[in-house]
Order: sequence, then C-alpha cells, then structure tokens
Amino acid sequence: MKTSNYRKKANINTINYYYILALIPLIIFGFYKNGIKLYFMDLVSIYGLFKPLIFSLGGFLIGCLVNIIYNKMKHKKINKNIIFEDFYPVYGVLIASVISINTNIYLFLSVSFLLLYITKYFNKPKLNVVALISLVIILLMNISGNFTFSNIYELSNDFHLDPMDYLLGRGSGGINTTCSGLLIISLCFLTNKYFYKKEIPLYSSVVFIILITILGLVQKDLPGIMDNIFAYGTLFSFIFIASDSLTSSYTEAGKIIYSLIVGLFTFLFFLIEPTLAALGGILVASLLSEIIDFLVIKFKNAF
Amino acid sequence: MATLIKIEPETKLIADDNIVDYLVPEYIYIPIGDNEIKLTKNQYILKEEEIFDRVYSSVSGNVIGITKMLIDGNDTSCLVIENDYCENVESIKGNKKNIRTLKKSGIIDLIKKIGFDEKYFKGKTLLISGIDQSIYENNYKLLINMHVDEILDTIDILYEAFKYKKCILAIKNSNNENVTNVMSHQGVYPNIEVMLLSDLYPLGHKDVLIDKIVTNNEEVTYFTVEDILIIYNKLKRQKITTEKIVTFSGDLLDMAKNIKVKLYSSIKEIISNNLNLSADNYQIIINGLLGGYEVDSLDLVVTNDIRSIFIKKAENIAENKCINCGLCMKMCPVKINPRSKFNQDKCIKCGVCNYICPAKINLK
Repeated sequence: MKTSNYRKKANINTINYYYILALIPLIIFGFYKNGIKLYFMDLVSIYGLFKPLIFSLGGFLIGCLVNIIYNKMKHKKINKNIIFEDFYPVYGVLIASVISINTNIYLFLSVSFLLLYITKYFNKPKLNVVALISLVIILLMNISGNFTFSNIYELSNDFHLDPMDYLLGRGSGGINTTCSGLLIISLCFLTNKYFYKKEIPLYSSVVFIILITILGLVQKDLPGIMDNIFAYGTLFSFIFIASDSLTSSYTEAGKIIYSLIVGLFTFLFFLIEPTLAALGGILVASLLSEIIDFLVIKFKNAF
Repeated sequence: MATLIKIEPETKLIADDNIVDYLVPEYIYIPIGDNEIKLTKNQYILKEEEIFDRVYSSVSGNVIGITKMLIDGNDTSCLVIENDYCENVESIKGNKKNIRTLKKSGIIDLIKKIGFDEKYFKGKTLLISGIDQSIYENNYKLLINMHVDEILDTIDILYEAFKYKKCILAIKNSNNENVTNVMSHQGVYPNIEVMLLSDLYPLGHKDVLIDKIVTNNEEVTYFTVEDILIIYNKLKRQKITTEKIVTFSGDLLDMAKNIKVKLYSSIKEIISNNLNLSADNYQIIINGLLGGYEVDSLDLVVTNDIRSIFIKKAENIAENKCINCGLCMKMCPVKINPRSKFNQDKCIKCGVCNYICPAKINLK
C-alpha cells in the first residue's frame, strides 16, 4: 500500500523564480547606478553601460550551464526542471551582485563556473557557495592590483553620505547591493513567501547592528555607525546569502543560533576587513549549520 | 499548538452539496478476515443480519461464494452476497423505552453491538467532530445538514447519561449551512457548545482537533458526527447503519459527487453506474489526497473506514535533493521532524510534509 503523493504546485523552480523577482529591482538599480548614470556622464563606453547587466545575466547563465553540464555528464535528459533543479542560477546572480563593478568579467565568469561546478560535486561539509565564490573573486581582484568597490564616478568624488543616501543607494558597494530602500522592499516581498527563512536576516541584522552600535559608542564615532551598517553590502548578504536554504540551519532554534553566529562573525571580520565581513561571517556560519541542527535535534529529543 | 495550513482547493474537484443515492448494488463483499464461515452457499441473508462479529449485511440476498477484493488496500477474501433488492429485515419492534431515561450502562449495552464499548466513553469532555478529515471531503458537512436534529439530540443524550463536564461540537465556520443549522438549534440544546473553526488542514484529524480545543491535557471522549448517527440509529431506531456517504472526485472523473452507498458494495460498480472515468492510466487515492493511500485497482469495497475516492492522472513526480528548507518540520502539526528517525510514532500521517516539500521528496 503506497501513500498518496499529492503535492503543492510550488517547487524549487518557484523558489528560484521568487528570488529572481526579488532581485530584479536591485539589478535594475545596479544597472542605473553603475551603467546608465555613468554612461550619460560620459564616464564609460557602451560596454560599460551594459556591464552591470552582463554580470547579472552572465551569473544566471553560468548557474544554468553548470546544471546542464552536470546533468549531461550523468546522461540525464535536459529540460527546464533540470536547469532549475537547485539554486545555482540564482547563486550566479547573487555572486554577480556582491562583487565590484571593477571586477574583470572573464575572471568572474571563469571562477564562478569552475567553483560552482566543483561545489556541485563536492560540497561536504556544506559551505555557502555564494559567499565562498564571491570571497575568492574579491580576493583575486585584490591580489591583482588596486581594487575598490567604488565605481568610476564615486572614485572621482568625495562623498559625505547621510542615512537617506544609503536608502537611495548612493553609497559604494557590490553591483546590486547598495540601495537599502529596495533591499527592504525585497525583504518584505520574500518574508511573505512560505519558503523564506526570515528569521535569519532578522536576527543576524539585530546582532550585527547592536555590536556595531556598541563599537561606535566606544569609539565615539556616532555618524560612522550608520555608515558601517548600510555600507559594504552587509544587509544584502544577510537577506539573500545568509538565508540560503541549502546551507543555513533548518530547525527553529538552529536558525536563531545560525543567525547569531552570522551576526557575531560578521562583526568580528568587520574589525579586520569591512568589505569582506558579511561574506566571511556567512561562510563560517554555513560551515557550522549542519552541526547546529544536529545538536538542536539531539537536545530536543533528550528532553 | 499545532501548525495548520490553508489549502486552496481546485474548484473542479469540489463536489456540490447534493447527494446521489446508489443503494442498489448487485453484490456486496463482506471481508472474512479471521472469522469462521458458518454460512453455506445460497443461504438467504437478511439485511442487517450479523454475518461475523459486529459485521452486518447491508442488503438481503443469497450467499454466492467467496472472492478476493481490496479492503484497506490489501487483497482480502470476501463473502459475496447477491442482492435480491427486497431489503428484507428481521421485524424489530421500535424501542419503546424513552431513550432519555436510559442510564450509562443501558446505553452501552445497546451500542456495544455496533462497536462502541465502555472504553470509548472515558474522559470528561465530549468532543464531536463535524470537520471533514481531508480536503474535498464533504461527508460530515452533509450529515450535519441532513440530520442536525438527530445529531444534536444524540449528543445531548450522551452528555446527560455519561455526565460529561463539557460537550463540544466542532464545525467549520466556512460551512454556512452547517453553522445556520446548528446555531438555530442551540436554544434547544444549551449543553452543547458549538465551536466554529477555520477551514484549515489537518483540523479534521482527531489528535490535532483535540490539541486545538482541549488545552489542559484532560482525557477526551471523541466521536465524529458519523459515529453519532450510527449511535442514533441503534439507540432510537434499533437499526444498524448500513449506508454511508462517500465522496468521489478527481481530474479523471467527469464531475465530483457525494454518493450514498451501501456498505460493502463495490467501488467499481458504483463508479460505472454513476460517473464517467475518462482514462485507463490512473491513480486511485483513498481517504484524502494528502493523508490518504494509493491502491492499484478499483476492485475496492466500501468499508466504514472509506470516506473518499480520488481518481487522478497517473504522474511520476521526480524527487530532487533535499534543499534543507525545514518546511516539513515547520509545518508538521505534531511538530516532529519527518527527516529524522526520532518520534516517528507520533506521526498522524496527515501528509502535510509531503505536500509542502518543494523538492518533492516522499517523506511519509
């Protein structure tokens, strides 16, 4: 006697679709800020105009390509379900979003493809793929020379930003990560979706903000608090990368512990290198997520 | 408190509130189980005659032999009785006693022959569920609409005879007709507390409903409105219930219907006489799309445990790797982890984990 196999229509494709939908406003803003605006200021060429979109689209296609090649190697029939069998296309877009507009496109495409493909085969213990690949790309760019997150316009001006500027995305950061106002809208959209682990961005942001505020108070740098919270793509990383379904905790208590670790390690890394802090914090927490869930379940069953 | 989910039903699969009668099966198939057969071929059987312990014939007619049929998903030997369509019953004088004067032991004496003995009545709260157990099922809703007087009267009798502290009838607030019918009788039965609950799944499951309604962990006497009508028939009319409503639905049937059928009649016969089945390659799901079970053939027999039959297109759902979303655990009404081996004995087999899983993993 088999059990009934009636399913909700939503599947992994649907989750991918909602993530892309949440990212679209940010991608459009990234295109405006790092492409259109610079092009009309005569700061970039036509290639520079479309560069932000090429990154996002390239990331998406790399994610799809990895799934196609992986399944071809396993002699599976390629269809829409195979391409979106996991979150790799979204991972590609997320990697493209957190890196700098100054990143070499070939480096981005080749490293993303290579590491996505490798992690598709071997990802034990589960590491947050987006954080890992973004860190590798940023580190490689750092090694290759004077690397910065500011675009050509931001480099040529000295800005003093207030909170409203961060809400409107005037700060420097990853290609699609700077507009905090749109980030909050995307968060509200995702929070209403049944699959989204909303506790993770919430708790990790709270921990990080508390620690940053304490640091600001100790250093008597009150204006710097806002800067530290909104800059460096930290909120974007908490909303989109830390909440990655595959590499974050799934138990209720586990999600809270995981978020606390993300917030804490982001703060600790922030003291060393602010631009890499959130990615580093997420990478460490993802390494611990399986053990967190294991311990939570064991503890729960012990009582 | 259990997590409950709202399931948006597909309109095509919802049966309307009409009931179609199909009370003339050609044959009935009574499961033999471990019972010893004392009947002979061609022996005449009366309707409501006890064939085995607490198993009664739903038609009158002759025994014609033994055959294999599916009972609860398993191949089982059944005694076949050919219906003579006469509905001959042993003449019973109606119960002349005023049922309201019966004490606890008197009631138990009367209804233990239909399977309700003393152990059913333990508890200080009497909880009656009028909430159908799965989506697309209408059985309890229709029973309340048709027999509201009988149901409320019987609940009141049980409440007084067994001296319960509290008596609750739970119905869905979305069933307007149920709500109107029950509320219009509330003045006559002040002891019965009517609880209106949202249309959420799996509220119709016994454990979930008890968890939702009874907060102080006290023991509860639980019945469904169908049980109450069976008790009513025995107490008031000295009759054995030999009919029941079964919901037939599914995308391969021309329409969804509630059909009143004889117990032990063949599902195949009911479908061929009442519905159009439009394909040969189908899946048959018994007792709800979410928590039900699948059987391979339509050689099924209506038993007391069958509430609904769904016939849908056969489909192979490809399983993906687990994406660690934790939805199965978050949505589980009894808060167990379907992925872990711990506490699986607490599972109520409601199917929510399976339904919700985005990776389409078979978790049950």
